[in-house]
Amino acid sequence: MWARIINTLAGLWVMISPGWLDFHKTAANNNYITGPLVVTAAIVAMWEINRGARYFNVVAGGWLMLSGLLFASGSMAVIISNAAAGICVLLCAFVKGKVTKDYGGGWSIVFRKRSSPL
Amino acid sequence: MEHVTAIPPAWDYNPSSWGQRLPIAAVALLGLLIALYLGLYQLGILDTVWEPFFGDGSRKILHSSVSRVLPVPDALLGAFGYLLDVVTAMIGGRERWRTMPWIVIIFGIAVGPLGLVSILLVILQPVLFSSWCTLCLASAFISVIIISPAMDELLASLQYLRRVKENGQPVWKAFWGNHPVTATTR
Repeated sequence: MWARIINTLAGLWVMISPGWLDFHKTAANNNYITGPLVVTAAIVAMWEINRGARYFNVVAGGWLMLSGLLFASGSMAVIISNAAAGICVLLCAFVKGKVTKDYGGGWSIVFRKRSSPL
Repeated sequence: MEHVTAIPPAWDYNPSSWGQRLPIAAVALLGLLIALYLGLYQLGILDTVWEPFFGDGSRKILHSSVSRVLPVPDALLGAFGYLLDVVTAMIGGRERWRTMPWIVIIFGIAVGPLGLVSILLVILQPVLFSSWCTLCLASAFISVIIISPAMDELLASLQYLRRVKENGQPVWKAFWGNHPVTATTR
């Protein structure tokens, strides 16, 4: 749970940081798009049944780290901010956390190709 | 105990129990009230809108071009989405994952895509209009936190239909709930 909470906070920071630091337009838009997606995936993954949503944030975290360098971001502070947020998101996304309940095999049961032998 | 039979095979709890569904309906109802309030403002029935943090952010967002893309103000569409959430959360008994898969699936569609549209609107606020709208963000938050709590029931219904299919029984009939299937295999 703590990993998802930190992940949510990091995503919120990504969303609001263009208001605090000196972002260029493209870099700011990148954060305005990535931030809400990170927050959404983190919140959805808070519940055991959709814990798999955390993998989205593995990608998003990696993207945040890279994107600060790819865009003319504005300042060093922007690059550092996004890199730090990205690392944070990435590391938290790797934390599986506790899964204590059984959900009849989860989503993979629905989408598997063939049934297991009866 | 009647309790035990209501739990899907290999599950620890019944996702269709009222204890699972009522909280979702309550939160969706809150979303409905927020969206209605914003919609009334968009229609001009209310003169002002509550905006504690972002100055004239809410005014800009709620009267923006995006909000008028469709004939109906977007907040009213959101309100309709929440209404659909509440109604489809309430219909059916405590074993509806198996007795009424159709309503569970409509419920899942109402909750999932509505949440995703909210995210899209959150993204558009700063990108297109350089502002935020407090109650719009609150509404988006509400639609995101009900996604996972609603998805467990959807999963139970889809697993059930899968079992029906694997047992060679008619999925379509099971979908409408008029075909009692005693499939227990996974």
